[in-house]
Amino acid sequence: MPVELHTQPSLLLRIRQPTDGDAWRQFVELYAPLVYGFLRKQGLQDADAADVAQDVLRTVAQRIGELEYDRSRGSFRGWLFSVVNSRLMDFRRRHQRERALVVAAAAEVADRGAEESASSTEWDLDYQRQVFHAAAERVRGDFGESAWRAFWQAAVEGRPAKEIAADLGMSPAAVYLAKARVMNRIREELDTLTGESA
Amino acid sequence: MNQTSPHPDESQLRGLLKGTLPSGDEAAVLNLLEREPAWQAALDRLVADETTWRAAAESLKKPPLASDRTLRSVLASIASIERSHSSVNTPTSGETLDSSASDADHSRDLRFLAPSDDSAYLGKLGPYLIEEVIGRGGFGVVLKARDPRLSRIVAIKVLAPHLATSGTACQRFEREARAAAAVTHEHVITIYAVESEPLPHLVMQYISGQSLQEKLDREGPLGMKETLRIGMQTAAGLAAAHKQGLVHRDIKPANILLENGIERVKLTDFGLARAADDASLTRSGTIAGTPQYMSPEQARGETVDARSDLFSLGTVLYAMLAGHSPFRADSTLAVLKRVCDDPPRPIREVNPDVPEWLAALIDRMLAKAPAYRPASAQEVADQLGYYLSQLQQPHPVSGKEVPRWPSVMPVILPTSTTAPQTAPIADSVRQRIDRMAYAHLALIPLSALGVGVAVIAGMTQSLSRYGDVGLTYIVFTWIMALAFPIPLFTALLTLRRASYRVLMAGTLLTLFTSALLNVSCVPLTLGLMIWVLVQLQRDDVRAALAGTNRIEKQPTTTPLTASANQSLAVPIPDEKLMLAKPAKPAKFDPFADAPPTPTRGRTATVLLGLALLLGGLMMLGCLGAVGSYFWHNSGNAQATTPRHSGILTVQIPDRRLKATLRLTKAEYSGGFPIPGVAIADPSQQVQVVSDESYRLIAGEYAITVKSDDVTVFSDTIRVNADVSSVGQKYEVKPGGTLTIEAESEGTFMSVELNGQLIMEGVQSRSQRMLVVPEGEIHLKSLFGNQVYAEKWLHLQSGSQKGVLVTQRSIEVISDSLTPGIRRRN
Repeated sequence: MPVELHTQPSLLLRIRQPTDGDAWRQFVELYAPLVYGFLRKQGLQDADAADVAQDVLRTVAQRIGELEYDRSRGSFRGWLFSVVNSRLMDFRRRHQRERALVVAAAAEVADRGAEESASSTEWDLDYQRQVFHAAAERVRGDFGESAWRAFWQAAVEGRPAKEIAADLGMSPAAVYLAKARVMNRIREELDTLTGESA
Repeated sequence: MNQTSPHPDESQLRGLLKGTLPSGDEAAVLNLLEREPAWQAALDRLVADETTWRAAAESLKKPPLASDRTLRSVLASIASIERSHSSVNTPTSGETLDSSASDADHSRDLRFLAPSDDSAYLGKLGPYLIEEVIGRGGFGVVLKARDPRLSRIVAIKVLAPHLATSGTACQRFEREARAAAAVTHEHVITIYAVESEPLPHLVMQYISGQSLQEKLDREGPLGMKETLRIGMQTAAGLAAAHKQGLVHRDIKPANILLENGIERVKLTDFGLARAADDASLTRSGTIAGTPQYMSPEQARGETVDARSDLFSLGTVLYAMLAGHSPFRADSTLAVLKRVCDDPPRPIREVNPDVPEWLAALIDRMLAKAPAYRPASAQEVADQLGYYLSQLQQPHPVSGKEVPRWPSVMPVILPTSTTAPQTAPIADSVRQRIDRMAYAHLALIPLSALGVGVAVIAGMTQSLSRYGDVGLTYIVFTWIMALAFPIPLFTALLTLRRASYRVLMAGTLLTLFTSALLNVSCVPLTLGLMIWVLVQLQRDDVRAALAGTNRIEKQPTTTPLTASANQSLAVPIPDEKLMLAKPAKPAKFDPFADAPPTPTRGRTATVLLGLALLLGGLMMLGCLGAVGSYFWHNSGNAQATTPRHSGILTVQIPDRRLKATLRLTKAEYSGGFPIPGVAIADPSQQVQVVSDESYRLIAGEYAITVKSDDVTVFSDTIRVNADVSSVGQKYEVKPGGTLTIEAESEGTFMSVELNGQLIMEGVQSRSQRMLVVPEGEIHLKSLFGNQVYAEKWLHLQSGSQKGVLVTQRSIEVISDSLTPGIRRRN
């Protein structure tokens, strides 16, 4: 059972309020790079990726109200992926027709079939990477330098606690504790961001 | 507290995490944590499950997803979604974000400025004191500055630093700026100086006012007068630039400045789009610029000329009347596609107040092919100016008051709809009519084939020993000679003047004559006719064609007619709006005024030349034919002249035999039908009826005789051209009857008669055939190439022989086997 230190309404719930501009901005900051980066990896040129990313976020803005946060009906990650995928396929269909027109932009996409849908594994990895980094970024300020480094070296780099403790001049127990505390906050932040446990 | 507890206590760990344990307990738990791996694991599990830990490690090991320059612009554009999304009552967050970003841009952009002594100014650029930033674009920034020497206000356009690092962009910026500086025109912004340090920049006239874009954003669609005035002034400015060989390349409402008060047009940003284009193209390979106002050739990245500006001007005219550009779509790509492929929605659908002639002019300017656009910006300026002067006339024109109008001048009366309105033919319609014209040319090769053969035959007949020239032939050749150029002339006339009558008459004549010339033309001509008729179902096409007729037929019904060389007596109240040259009346002939453009003129001339040349050749051919006719008829040569055909009679004594004749080698090939000839070309085959006489053209024929579907005989017959009416006789001499009984269907055998293979395989288990003529029969039973058994028989005329063929043997079973009686083993 995860520890709950304080609760905050999830970002995904907040963006459903049209008046909460701040939530939408956070949402865009978090998800635009993800969507854009993913589209770039699918072979879209930057301008096209930007166009499609914009479409995706517009769709999200329009349809977020319809989405119920019911885990049984699938995760937000999956839902967003389906939006990205359908916009991407729209784009490719359009693009196939336009390929003759804008030769330069088509070069990369030309090799891919219009109907080919993107891989969800790749998306999941990207999604995970983006939300973890975003969460880490957000909680970073809550901890001191050494606690952060202890967490990083222990959890991310997987070094033994004793070594880290020696390097950072702290007790191994403090390393364990720091690692757990940072992770706890990161996980809380993840919940706030992705709203999947809300 | 159990100090040695090997079982991790979750509540204590939770307390440790929250920092709520009493300090003694905390030390103890920490101690346990240090020593006991189980406690460590429990703590880890408490905060996150194993998957999350692994995911965290995997994700954080990799760098964050790249956040590059493009992405920042995406974020900026998505911020606009935010605004529309949350416009209800939170204007704060988005806007503060924006303004802080633009502040940052600001200071970054202006770093090249030298500090100014006076804090009222942003800085100094050369001698100029910068007052404020008045605009930004893809190319850089526009500053408002004071020139202290002349104490006047100037505008300075500075090339963006990222573009300034590109050598070509700099050079082009300066070259284009110098070219633009050479244009001095009332409606082109005046350039005072071009400098390259510290960044390339351009010092120009400061116009206080708004851009057309701003005006459109604020006021929506403009009125007719205003549209005409702005359009005319823009076109006049463009014409001046085009005269200097300068293409603007970025005509759009944002580049059309309207001076405060009188709203005089000042065209700005000459060629700068190109400088920016080059740099950005080399960097990202995408198209920069404002696609909504781009010409198709520009969108495709092809070379552009002055006519590209006319397209853009057309979109601007459209935008002024409709309130938006004709090519709108969700994404840049979609806009480009629409620019290249889609016809814009007719302006009159968007704004029904737009008169027909203006819609037609805009249509022409928006033609996808540059050749179909108006010839020059000056022409557009003249037309717009002319119509503007019409609108500004205080009194509506009536026939008596203003008698001096050119005969075919299209006149638009703002208050009267009863006066004839004849607009220049719309571009799309013009193209359709042109296509109909060109389609006639497709018939030329086919009819040329027929005519060519006939003419060559006519010319060579006099030299040939078969000089069988009849009067019919002469008449034919003459019709051909006269008819052949008809499609050419139809095409030519239709290209020059779109006339319903010419088109219809030409097409009908073409159909009629093509049937005479070469039968294979007929389907094509019929197709053409149907297509032309379908085209004529279109109202606009019919109107264009019919309109022409009306003008040709009754030029005097327009009350506004007069000689063309008299000048217009039109009161033009605003002198500024008057063109240097009033519209030349002659220009408004719907034909002279609309295309033919130079290209079309050239095509027409080439066609005419071709028609004359072919016509001449036809005449020569006819003369040759006539000459040969008289030459042959005058001399005694005629009596000995053989005909091209002879008469053949084939006799087949047995009705079981079926003979067919096929031409294998014709001696005569005039391509000209000889009446009553049964076979004139190798594709024909005639089933011969015994003792029937056939008239055939001279040559070699193959005769094939079949008995019971088995070819039992074939031979070659020569038919000589013969004047005698008796003709030749050919007799098929039947041999004996051979009956072959096969043991089974699978038995494979061959039958040769006098060394000629007449049957292979087994047609049926009992095969009875009449063999022609008598001779030696060679029977073989085969398996693959292997001969298992063979037998020779001599089959005399009238005799009957039967054989039984098995896989291994051939046995003569009867010398007179009667049909239907089978002998079995």
